[in-house]
Amino acid sequence: MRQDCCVDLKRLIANIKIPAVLRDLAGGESVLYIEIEGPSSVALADVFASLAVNHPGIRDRTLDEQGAIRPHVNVFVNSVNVKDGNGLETRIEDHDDIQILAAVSGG
Amino acid sequence: MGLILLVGTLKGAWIFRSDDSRSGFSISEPMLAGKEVYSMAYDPGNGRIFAGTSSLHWGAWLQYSDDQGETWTEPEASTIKFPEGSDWTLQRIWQIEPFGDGQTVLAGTEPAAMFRSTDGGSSFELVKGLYDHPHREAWQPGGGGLCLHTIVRDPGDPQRLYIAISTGGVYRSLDGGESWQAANKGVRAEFLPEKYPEFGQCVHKIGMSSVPSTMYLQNHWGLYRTDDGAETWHDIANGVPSDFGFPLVVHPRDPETAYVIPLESDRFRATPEGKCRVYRTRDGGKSWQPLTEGLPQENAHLTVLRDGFTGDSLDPAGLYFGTRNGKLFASSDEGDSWRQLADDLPPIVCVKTAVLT
Repeated sequence: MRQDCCVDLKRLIANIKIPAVLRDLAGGESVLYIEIEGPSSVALADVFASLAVNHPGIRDRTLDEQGAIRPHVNVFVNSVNVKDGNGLETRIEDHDDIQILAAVSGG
Repeated sequence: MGLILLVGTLKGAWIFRSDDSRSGFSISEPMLAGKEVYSMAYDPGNGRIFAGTSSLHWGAWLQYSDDQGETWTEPEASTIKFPEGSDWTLQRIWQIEPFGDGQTVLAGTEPAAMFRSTDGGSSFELVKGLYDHPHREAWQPGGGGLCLHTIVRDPGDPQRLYIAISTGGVYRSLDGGESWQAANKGVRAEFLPEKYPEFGQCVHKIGMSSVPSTMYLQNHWGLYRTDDGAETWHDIANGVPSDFGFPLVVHPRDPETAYVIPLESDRFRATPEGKCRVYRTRDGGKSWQPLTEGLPQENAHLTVLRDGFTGDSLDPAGLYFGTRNGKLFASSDEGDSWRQLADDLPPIVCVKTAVLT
Protein backbone atom coordinates (compact mmCIF):
# COMPACT_ATOMS: atom_id res chain seq x y z
CA MET A 1 0.00 0.00 0.00
CA ARG A 2 1.29 3.45 -0.82
CA GLN A 3 0.25 6.83 0.46
CA ASP A 4 -1.05 9.41 -2.02
CA CYS A 5 -1.56 12.63 -0.13
CA CYS A 6 -4.05 11.81 2.60
CA VAL A 7 -5.96 8.95 0.97
CA ASP A 8 -5.05 5.35 1.61
CA LEU A 9 -4.77 3.57 -1.70
CA LYS A 10 -5.18 -0.16 -1.85
CA ARG A 11 -5.67 -2.83 -4.40
CA LEU A 12 -9.18 -3.99 -4.96
CA ILE A 13 -10.35 -6.71 -7.23
CA ALA A 14 -13.50 -6.56 -9.35
CA ASN A 15 -14.95 -9.85 -10.55
CA ILE A 16 -16.36 -9.35 -14.05
CA LYS A 17 -18.58 -12.14 -15.33
CA ILE A 18 -18.37 -12.39 -19.10
CA PRO A 19 -21.32 -13.56 -21.21
CA ALA A 20 -20.63 -16.64 -23.32
CA VAL A 21 -20.82 -14.69 -26.59
CA LEU A 22 -17.89 -12.48 -25.54
CA ARG A 23 -15.66 -15.11 -23.96
CA ASP A 24 -13.42 -15.42 -27.01
CA LEU A 25 -12.40 -11.86 -26.23
CA ALA A 26 -11.53 -12.89 -22.67
CA GLY A 27 -9.27 -15.78 -23.57
CA GLY A 28 -12.14 -18.15 -22.98
CA GLU A 29 -12.57 -17.10 -19.35
CA SER A 30 -16.03 -16.76 -17.85
CA VAL A 31 -14.77 -14.42 -15.12
CA LEU A 32 -12.05 -11.80 -15.32
CA TYR A 33 -10.48 -10.51 -12.12
CA ILE A 34 -9.53 -6.89 -12.63
CA GLU A 35 -7.14 -5.43 -10.11
CA ILE A 36 -7.38 -1.69 -9.53
CA GLU A 37 -5.48 0.59 -7.24
CA GLY A 38 -7.61 3.19 -5.52
CA PRO A 39 -9.36 4.20 -2.34
CA SER A 40 -11.83 1.83 -0.73
CA SER A 41 -14.05 1.98 -3.80
CA VAL A 42 -13.78 3.07 -7.42
CA ALA A 43 -16.31 4.02 -10.07
CA LEU A 44 -17.54 1.34 -12.44
CA ALA A 45 -16.15 3.50 -15.27
CA ASP A 46 -12.68 3.03 -13.78
CA VAL A 47 -13.16 -0.71 -13.79
CA PHE A 48 -13.99 -0.62 -17.51
CA ALA A 49 -10.95 1.55 -18.15
CA SER A 50 -8.77 -1.04 -16.44
CA LEU A 51 -10.53 -3.87 -18.23
CA ALA A 52 -9.79 -2.21 -21.58
CA VAL A 53 -6.04 -2.36 -21.04
CA ASN A 54 -5.97 -6.06 -21.81
CA HIS A 55 -9.47 -6.67 -23.10
CA PRO A 56 -10.53 -3.71 -25.27
CA GLY A 57 -12.98 -5.88 -27.16
CA ILE A 58 -15.15 -6.45 -24.12
CA ARG A 59 -15.16 -2.78 -23.24
CA ASP A 60 -16.01 -1.78 -26.83
CA ARG A 61 -18.94 -4.18 -27.01
CA THR A 62 -20.33 -3.17 -23.61
CA LEU A 63 -19.81 0.58 -23.97
CA ASP A 64 -20.12 2.75 -27.06
CA GLU A 65 -17.29 5.02 -28.21
CA GLN A 66 -18.57 7.84 -26.01
CA GLY A 67 -18.33 5.62 -22.95
CA ALA A 68 -22.03 4.93 -22.38
CA ILE A 69 -23.42 1.47 -21.71
CA ARG A 70 -25.00 0.27 -24.96
CA PRO A 71 -28.80 0.50 -24.97
CA HIS A 72 -29.38 -3.25 -25.21
CA VAL A 73 -26.66 -4.30 -22.76
CA ASN A 74 -27.15 -4.42 -19.01
CA VAL A 75 -24.46 -4.32 -16.36
CA PHE A 76 -25.32 -5.66 -12.93
CA VAL A 77 -23.29 -5.00 -9.80
CA ASN A 78 -24.10 -7.56 -7.14
CA SER A 79 -27.31 -8.31 -9.03
CA VAL A 80 -28.45 -4.67 -9.24
CA ASN A 81 -28.78 -3.18 -12.74
CA VAL A 82 -26.63 -0.04 -12.72
CA LYS A 83 -28.99 1.58 -15.25
CA ASP A 84 -31.50 1.75 -12.39
CA GLY A 85 -28.99 3.54 -10.20
CA ASN A 86 -25.81 5.47 -10.73
CA GLY A 87 -24.75 3.94 -14.01
CA LEU A 88 -21.03 4.06 -14.61
CA GLU A 89 -20.60 6.13 -11.44
CA THR A 90 -21.69 3.13 -9.35
CA ARG A 91 -19.08 2.54 -6.67
CA ILE A 92 -17.26 -0.77 -6.83
CA GLU A 93 -15.73 -2.28 -3.74
CA ASP A 94 -13.32 -5.13 -3.33
CA HIS A 95 -14.65 -8.39 -4.80
CA ASP A 96 -17.89 -6.93 -6.02
CA ASP A 97 -19.45 -9.01 -8.77
CA ILE A 98 -19.97 -7.22 -12.08
CA GLN A 99 -22.04 -9.07 -14.64
CA ILE A 100 -22.41 -8.06 -18.30
CA LEU A 101 -25.57 -9.39 -19.94
CA ALA A 102 -27.38 -8.91 -23.24
CA ALA A 103 -30.83 -7.44 -22.67
CA VAL A 104 -33.87 -9.25 -23.99
CA SER A 105 -34.54 -7.66 -27.36
CA GLY A 106 -34.82 -8.33 -31.04
CA GLY A 107 -37.34 -9.93 -33.35
CA MET B 1 -13.34 -16.97 -63.19
CA GLY B 2 -16.85 -16.75 -61.88
CA LEU B 3 -19.28 -14.52 -60.14
CA ILE B 4 -20.17 -14.11 -56.51
CA LEU B 5 -23.31 -12.51 -55.21
CA LEU B 6 -23.08 -11.06 -51.72
CA VAL B 7 -26.45 -10.94 -50.00
CA GLY B 8 -26.84 -9.14 -46.68
CA THR B 9 -30.00 -9.55 -44.63
CA LEU B 10 -31.33 -8.56 -41.24
CA LYS B 11 -30.25 -11.94 -39.87
CA GLY B 12 -26.97 -12.75 -41.56
CA ALA B 13 -25.36 -13.01 -44.99
CA TRP B 14 -25.19 -15.49 -47.82
CA ILE B 15 -22.89 -15.85 -50.81
CA PHE B 16 -24.21 -17.18 -54.11
CA ARG B 17 -21.67 -18.50 -56.61
CA SER B 18 -21.81 -19.08 -60.34
CA ASP B 19 -19.57 -19.43 -63.33
CA ASP B 20 -19.56 -16.73 -65.98
CA SER B 21 -22.53 -18.26 -67.75
CA ARG B 22 -24.69 -17.48 -64.69
CA SER B 23 -26.88 -20.43 -65.64
CA GLY B 24 -26.90 -21.76 -62.10
CA PHE B 25 -26.03 -20.48 -58.66
CA SER B 26 -25.04 -22.33 -55.51
CA ILE B 27 -25.93 -20.91 -52.13
CA SER B 28 -23.70 -20.90 -49.08
CA GLU B 29 -24.62 -21.74 -45.54
CA PRO B 30 -25.65 -18.70 -43.47
CA MET B 31 -22.75 -16.48 -42.46
CA LEU B 32 -22.57 -13.92 -39.68
CA ALA B 33 -25.78 -15.53 -38.49
CA GLY B 34 -28.03 -13.38 -36.36
CA LYS B 35 -26.40 -10.09 -37.28
CA GLU B 36 -27.79 -7.32 -39.44
CA VAL B 37 -25.62 -7.06 -42.56
CA TYR B 38 -26.45 -3.70 -44.11
CA SER B 39 -23.40 -3.53 -46.38
CA MET B 40 -21.04 -5.86 -48.18
CA ALA B 41 -18.25 -5.37 -50.70
CA TYR B 42 -15.49 -7.25 -52.48
CA ASP B 43 -12.03 -5.75 -52.88
CA PRO B 44 -10.49 -7.09 -56.10
CA GLY B 45 -7.11 -5.80 -54.95
CA ASN B 46 -6.72 -8.50 -52.33
CA GLY B 47 -9.81 -10.68 -52.57
CA ARG B 48 -11.14 -9.49 -49.23
CA ILE B 49 -14.88 -9.52 -48.64
CA PHE B 50 -16.21 -6.91 -46.23
CA ALA B 51 -19.43 -6.94 -44.26
CA GLY B 52 -20.86 -4.10 -42.21
CA THR B 53 -22.54 -5.93 -39.36
CA SER B 54 -24.48 -4.77 -36.36
CA SER B 55 -26.31 -6.29 -33.46
CA LEU B 56 -28.74 -4.67 -31.11
CA HIS B 57 -26.50 -5.63 -28.25
CA TRP B 58 -22.86 -5.31 -29.17
CA GLY B 59 -22.70 -2.48 -31.70
CA ALA B 60 -21.64 -2.12 -35.33
CA TRP B 61 -18.50 -3.70 -36.75
CA LEU B 62 -16.67 -3.93 -40.03
CA GLN B 63 -15.89 -7.61 -40.47
CA TYR B 64 -13.98 -9.21 -43.29
CA SER B 65 -13.18 -12.56 -44.82
CA ASP B 66 -10.02 -13.43 -46.71
CA ASP B 67 -11.21 -16.91 -47.68
CA GLN B 68 -14.39 -16.21 -49.63
CA GLY B 69 -16.59 -16.29 -46.58
CA GLU B 70 -15.33 -19.51 -44.98
CA THR B 71 -14.22 -17.57 -41.91
CA TRP B 72 -14.81 -14.02 -40.79
CA THR B 73 -12.65 -11.71 -38.73
CA GLU B 74 -14.21 -9.29 -36.29
CA PRO B 75 -11.64 -6.84 -34.95
CA GLU B 76 -11.21 -6.94 -31.21
CA ALA B 77 -11.50 -3.19 -30.74
CA SER B 78 -13.64 -0.79 -32.74
CA THR B 79 -12.06 0.34 -36.00
CA ILE B 80 -14.83 2.71 -37.04
CA LYS B 81 -15.82 5.11 -34.30
CA PHE B 82 -16.60 8.75 -33.75
CA PRO B 83 -14.08 10.80 -31.80
CA GLU B 84 -14.33 11.04 -28.06
CA GLY B 85 -16.65 13.85 -27.09
CA SER B 86 -18.67 13.65 -30.29
CA ASP B 87 -22.44 13.80 -30.00
CA TRP B 88 -22.58 10.82 -32.36
CA THR B 89 -22.02 7.11 -31.83
CA LEU B 90 -21.77 4.55 -34.60
CA GLN B 91 -25.08 2.78 -35.29
CA ARG B 92 -24.57 1.01 -38.61
CA ILE B 93 -22.22 0.75 -41.56
CA TRP B 94 -24.34 1.38 -44.65
CA GLN B 95 -21.75 1.37 -47.40
CA ILE B 96 -18.31 -0.04 -48.06
CA GLU B 97 -16.41 1.19 -51.09
CA PRO B 98 -13.01 -0.41 -51.75
CA PHE B 99 -10.91 1.35 -54.36
CA GLY B 100 -9.68 -1.99 -55.65
CA ASP B 101 -6.05 -1.48 -54.72
CA GLY B 102 -6.26 -3.62 -51.61
CA GLN B 103 -5.58 -0.58 -49.45
CA THR B 104 -8.04 2.28 -49.75
CA VAL B 105 -11.52 1.65 -48.44
CA LEU B 106 -14.27 4.17 -47.71
CA ALA B 107 -17.13 3.45 -45.34
CA GLY B 108 -20.43 5.32 -45.06
CA THR B 109 -22.17 5.16 -41.72
CA GLU B 110 -25.19 5.98 -39.62
CA PRO B 111 -25.09 8.68 -38.33
CA ALA B 112 -24.03 10.15 -41.65
CA ALA B 113 -20.26 10.22 -41.86
CA MET B 114 -17.46 8.84 -43.96
CA PHE B 115 -14.42 6.93 -42.73
CA ARG B 116 -11.31 6.16 -44.75
CA SER B 117 -8.88 3.28 -44.49
CA THR B 118 -5.52 3.18 -46.23
CA ASP B 119 -4.49 -0.22 -44.90
CA GLY B 120 -7.05 -2.47 -46.49
CA GLY B 121 -9.71 -1.92 -43.84
CA SER B 122 -7.71 -2.72 -40.72
CA SER B 123 -8.02 0.83 -39.38
CA PHE B 124 -10.10 3.87 -40.30
CA GLU B 125 -10.00 7.61 -39.84
CA LEU B 126 -12.98 9.92 -39.81
CA VAL B 127 -13.17 12.09 -42.94
CA LYS B 128 -13.15 15.41 -41.15
CA GLY B 129 -14.01 17.50 -44.19
CA LEU B 130 -17.48 16.00 -44.18
CA TYR B 131 -17.88 15.64 -40.42
CA ASP B 132 -17.10 19.34 -39.95
CA HIS B 133 -19.39 20.45 -42.76
CA PRO B 134 -21.65 23.31 -41.61
CA HIS B 135 -24.70 21.50 -43.01
CA ARG B 136 -24.23 18.53 -40.69
CA GLU B 137 -26.27 19.98 -37.85
CA ALA B 138 -29.24 20.45 -40.18
CA TRP B 139 -29.34 16.94 -41.65
CA GLN B 140 -32.39 14.99 -40.50
CA PRO B 141 -32.86 11.23 -40.19
CA GLY B 142 -35.14 9.53 -42.70
CA GLY B 143 -37.05 6.35 -42.02
CA GLY B 144 -33.85 4.33 -42.02
CA GLY B 145 -31.95 6.73 -39.79
CA LEU B 146 -29.53 9.52 -40.70
CA CYS B 147 -27.31 7.51 -42.97
CA LEU B 148 -24.60 8.01 -45.56
CA HIS B 149 -25.76 5.15 -47.72
CA THR B 150 -24.09 5.70 -51.07
CA ILE B 151 -20.51 6.38 -52.12
CA VAL B 152 -19.71 6.77 -55.81
CA ARG B 153 -16.25 7.45 -57.10
CA ASP B 154 -15.05 8.45 -60.53
CA PRO B 155 -12.79 5.62 -61.72
CA GLY B 156 -10.80 8.07 -63.82
CA ASP B 157 -10.34 10.67 -61.10
CA PRO B 158 -9.81 9.40 -57.56
CA GLN B 159 -10.21 12.93 -56.22
CA ARG B 160 -13.81 13.10 -57.40
CA LEU B 161 -16.27 11.52 -54.98
CA TYR B 162 -20.04 11.64 -54.62
CA ILE B 163 -22.11 10.63 -51.64
CA ALA B 164 -25.80 10.51 -50.84
CA ILE B 165 -27.28 11.08 -47.40
CA SER B 166 -30.83 10.55 -46.22
CA THR B 167 -31.76 13.20 -45.54
CA GLY B 168 -29.10 15.59 -46.65
CA GLY B 169 -28.94 14.89 -50.36
CA VAL B 170 -25.99 14.60 -52.71
CA TYR B 171 -22.58 15.99 -51.83
CA ARG B 172 -19.59 16.12 -54.13
CA SER B 173 -15.92 16.37 -53.38
CA LEU B 174 -13.33 17.30 -55.99
CA ASP B 175 -10.36 16.93 -53.67
CA GLY B 176 -10.61 13.38 -52.42
CA GLY B 177 -12.86 14.21 -49.48
CA GLU B 178 -11.11 17.24 -48.04
CA SER B 179 -14.07 19.47 -48.84
CA TRP B 180 -17.65 18.82 -49.87
CA GLN B 181 -20.30 20.81 -51.72
CA ALA B 182 -24.03 20.11 -51.85
CA ALA B 183 -25.00 19.00 -55.37
CA ASN B 184 -28.80 18.90 -55.44
CA LYS B 185 -29.71 21.58 -57.96
CA GLY B 186 -32.95 20.53 -59.60
CA VAL B 187 -33.79 17.78 -57.11
CA ARG B 188 -37.15 18.29 -55.42
CA ALA B 189 -37.75 17.90 -51.67
CA GLU B 190 -41.44 17.07 -51.55
CA PHE B 191 -41.51 17.04 -47.77
CA LEU B 192 -40.04 20.51 -47.19
CA PRO B 193 -41.73 23.90 -47.53
CA GLU B 194 -38.98 25.01 -49.89
CA LYS B 195 -39.12 22.49 -52.72
CA TYR B 196 -35.65 23.08 -54.16
CA PRO B 197 -33.33 23.72 -51.21
CA GLU B 198 -29.57 23.65 -51.44
CA PHE B 199 -29.58 20.46 -49.35
CA GLY B 200 -31.95 18.37 -47.28
CA GLN B 201 -33.31 16.18 -50.06
CA CYS B 202 -33.92 12.52 -49.31
CA VAL B 203 -31.87 11.00 -52.11
CA HIS B 204 -32.27 7.23 -52.04
CA LYS B 205 -29.56 6.19 -54.49
CA ILE B 206 -27.23 7.61 -57.13
CA GLY B 207 -25.40 5.64 -59.78
CA MET B 208 -22.63 6.59 -62.17
CA SER B 209 -22.65 5.55 -65.81
CA SER B 210 -19.68 4.54 -67.92
CA VAL B 211 -19.44 8.24 -68.78
CA PRO B 212 -18.65 9.60 -65.31
CA SER B 213 -20.33 12.96 -65.81
CA THR B 214 -23.61 11.16 -66.50
CA MET B 215 -25.32 9.88 -63.38
CA TYR B 216 -28.79 8.82 -62.36
CA LEU B 217 -30.64 9.53 -59.12
CA GLN B 218 -33.63 7.88 -57.42
CA ASN B 219 -35.14 10.34 -55.02
CA HIS B 220 -37.82 10.11 -52.36
CA TRP B 221 -40.24 11.01 -55.15
CA GLY B 222 -38.41 11.78 -58.34
CA LEU B 223 -36.10 10.26 -60.91
CA TYR B 224 -33.25 12.39 -62.18
CA ARG B 225 -30.24 12.47 -64.43
CA THR B 226 -27.20 14.70 -64.64
CA ASP B 227 -24.79 15.09 -67.54
CA ASP B 228 -22.49 17.59 -65.90
CA GLY B 229 -21.19 15.73 -62.88
CA ALA B 230 -24.06 16.71 -60.56
CA GLU B 231 -23.94 20.43 -61.29
CA THR B 232 -27.60 20.15 -62.26
CA TRP B 233 -30.16 17.35 -62.28
CA HIS B 234 -33.23 17.07 -64.49
CA ASP B 235 -36.35 14.97 -64.16
CA ILE B 236 -36.58 11.80 -66.23
CA ALA B 237 -39.64 10.12 -64.71
CA ASN B 238 -41.24 9.64 -68.12
CA GLY B 239 -43.48 6.61 -68.14
CA VAL B 240 -42.89 4.95 -64.79
CA PRO B 241 -45.96 4.01 -62.70
CA SER B 242 -44.46 5.90 -59.76
CA ASP B 243 -41.33 7.95 -59.35
CA PHE B 244 -41.01 6.78 -55.76
CA GLY B 245 -38.54 4.00 -55.08
CA PHE B 246 -35.24 3.18 -53.49
CA PRO B 247 -32.62 1.56 -55.74
CA LEU B 248 -31.31 2.11 -59.21
CA VAL B 249 -28.71 0.42 -61.35
CA VAL B 250 -26.83 1.90 -64.28
CA HIS B 251 -25.62 -0.28 -67.14
CA PRO B 252 -21.87 -0.97 -66.91
CA ARG B 253 -21.14 0.11 -70.51
CA ASP B 254 -24.15 1.98 -71.93
CA PRO B 255 -24.70 5.39 -70.29
CA GLU B 256 -28.22 5.58 -71.73
CA THR B 257 -29.41 2.41 -69.99
CA ALA B 258 -30.55 2.36 -66.37
CA TYR B 259 -32.95 0.38 -64.23
CA VAL B 260 -35.30 1.24 -61.35
CA ILE B 261 -37.88 -0.65 -59.30
CA PRO B 262 -40.76 1.76 -58.62
CA LEU B 263 -42.84 1.50 -55.46
CA GLU B 264 -46.40 2.72 -55.20
CA SER B 265 -45.82 5.62 -52.80
CA ASP B 266 -44.08 6.61 -49.62
CA ARG B 267 -47.23 5.61 -47.75
CA PHE B 268 -47.42 2.16 -49.41
CA ARG B 269 -43.89 1.09 -50.17
CA ALA B 270 -44.71 -1.89 -52.36
CA THR B 271 -44.57 -2.67 -56.05
CA PRO B 272 -47.55 -0.93 -57.76
CA GLU B 273 -50.69 -2.88 -58.66
CA GLY B 274 -49.35 -6.04 -57.06
CA LYS B 275 -46.92 -6.51 -59.94
CA CYS B 276 -43.18 -6.88 -59.53
CA ARG B 277 -41.69 -4.86 -62.37
CA VAL B 278 -38.22 -3.60 -63.09
CA TYR B 279 -38.26 -0.56 -65.37
CA ARG B 280 -35.52 -0.04 -67.91
CA THR B 281 -34.64 2.95 -70.01
CA ARG B 282 -32.53 2.55 -73.13
CA ASP B 283 -32.65 6.23 -74.05
CA GLY B 284 -31.31 7.95 -70.98
CA GLY B 285 -34.68 8.40 -69.28
CA LYS B 286 -36.78 9.66 -72.19
CA SER B 287 -38.88 6.53 -71.80
CA TRP B 288 -39.07 3.50 -69.49
CA GLN B 289 -40.29 -0.01 -70.24
CA PRO B 290 -41.46 -2.61 -67.70
CA LEU B 291 -39.52 -5.87 -67.49
CA THR B 292 -41.74 -8.65 -66.19
CA GLU B 293 -40.73 -12.02 -67.66
CA GLY B 294 -40.12 -14.36 -64.75
CA LEU B 295 -41.23 -11.86 -62.11
CA PRO B 296 -44.47 -12.34 -60.11
CA GLN B 297 -47.32 -10.32 -61.60
CA GLU B 298 -50.16 -11.14 -59.22
CA ASN B 299 -50.45 -10.20 -55.56
CA ALA B 300 -46.78 -9.27 -55.52
CA HIS B 301 -46.48 -6.46 -52.98
CA LEU B 302 -42.72 -6.38 -52.72
CA THR B 303 -40.25 -3.84 -51.41
CA VAL B 304 -36.70 -3.50 -52.66
CA LEU B 305 -34.48 -1.27 -50.56
CA ARG B 306 -31.76 1.08 -51.78
CA ASP B 307 -28.91 -1.42 -51.73
CA GLY B 308 -31.08 -4.39 -52.63
CA PHE B 309 -30.52 -4.05 -56.39
CA THR B 310 -27.25 -4.33 -58.26
CA GLY B 311 -25.63 -5.36 -61.50
CA ASP B 312 -22.54 -7.18 -62.65
CA SER B 313 -19.97 -6.12 -65.24
CA LEU B 314 -20.32 -9.13 -67.55
CA ASP B 315 -21.64 -9.01 -71.10
CA PRO B 316 -24.59 -9.20 -71.35
CA ALA B 317 -25.01 -7.41 -68.04
CA GLY B 318 -26.51 -9.32 -65.14
CA LEU B 319 -28.96 -7.82 -62.67
CA TYR B 320 -29.91 -8.97 -59.19
CA PHE B 321 -32.36 -7.78 -56.56
CA GLY B 322 -33.53 -8.94 -53.17
CA THR B 323 -36.74 -8.06 -51.39
CA ARG B 324 -37.76 -7.30 -47.85
CA ASN B 325 -39.57 -10.63 -47.75
CA GLY B 326 -36.46 -12.60 -48.62
CA LYS B 327 -36.84 -13.27 -52.33
CA LEU B 328 -33.81 -12.99 -54.59
CA PHE B 329 -34.18 -12.55 -58.36
CA ALA B 330 -31.56 -12.61 -61.12
CA SER B 331 -31.33 -11.76 -64.78
CA SER B 332 -28.40 -12.65 -67.00
CA ASP B 333 -29.76 -10.92 -70.13
CA GLU B 334 -29.90 -7.26 -69.13
CA GLY B 335 -33.32 -7.62 -67.56
CA ASP B 336 -35.19 -9.27 -70.45
CA SER B 337 -35.93 -12.31 -68.30
CA TRP B 338 -35.64 -13.15 -64.62
CA ARG B 339 -35.48 -16.17 -62.39
CA GLN B 340 -35.76 -16.60 -58.66
CA LEU B 341 -32.61 -17.69 -56.84
CA ALA B 342 -34.03 -17.78 -53.32
CA ASP B 343 -37.46 -17.54 -51.78
CA ASP B 344 -37.12 -17.68 -48.03
CA LEU B 345 -34.16 -15.64 -46.90
CA PRO B 346 -34.54 -13.11 -44.08
CA PRO B 347 -35.32 -9.52 -45.15
CA ILE B 348 -32.70 -8.56 -47.75
CA VAL B 349 -31.05 -5.18 -47.32
CA CYS B 350 -27.99 -5.46 -49.53
CA VAL B 351 -27.02 -7.25 -52.74
CA LYS B 352 -23.56 -6.80 -54.29
CA THR B 353 -21.66 -8.65 -57.00
CA ALA B 354 -18.07 -9.33 -57.84
CA VAL B 355 -16.59 -10.89 -60.94
CA LEU B 356 -13.68 -13.08 -59.95
CA THR B 357 -10.65 -13.23 -62.22
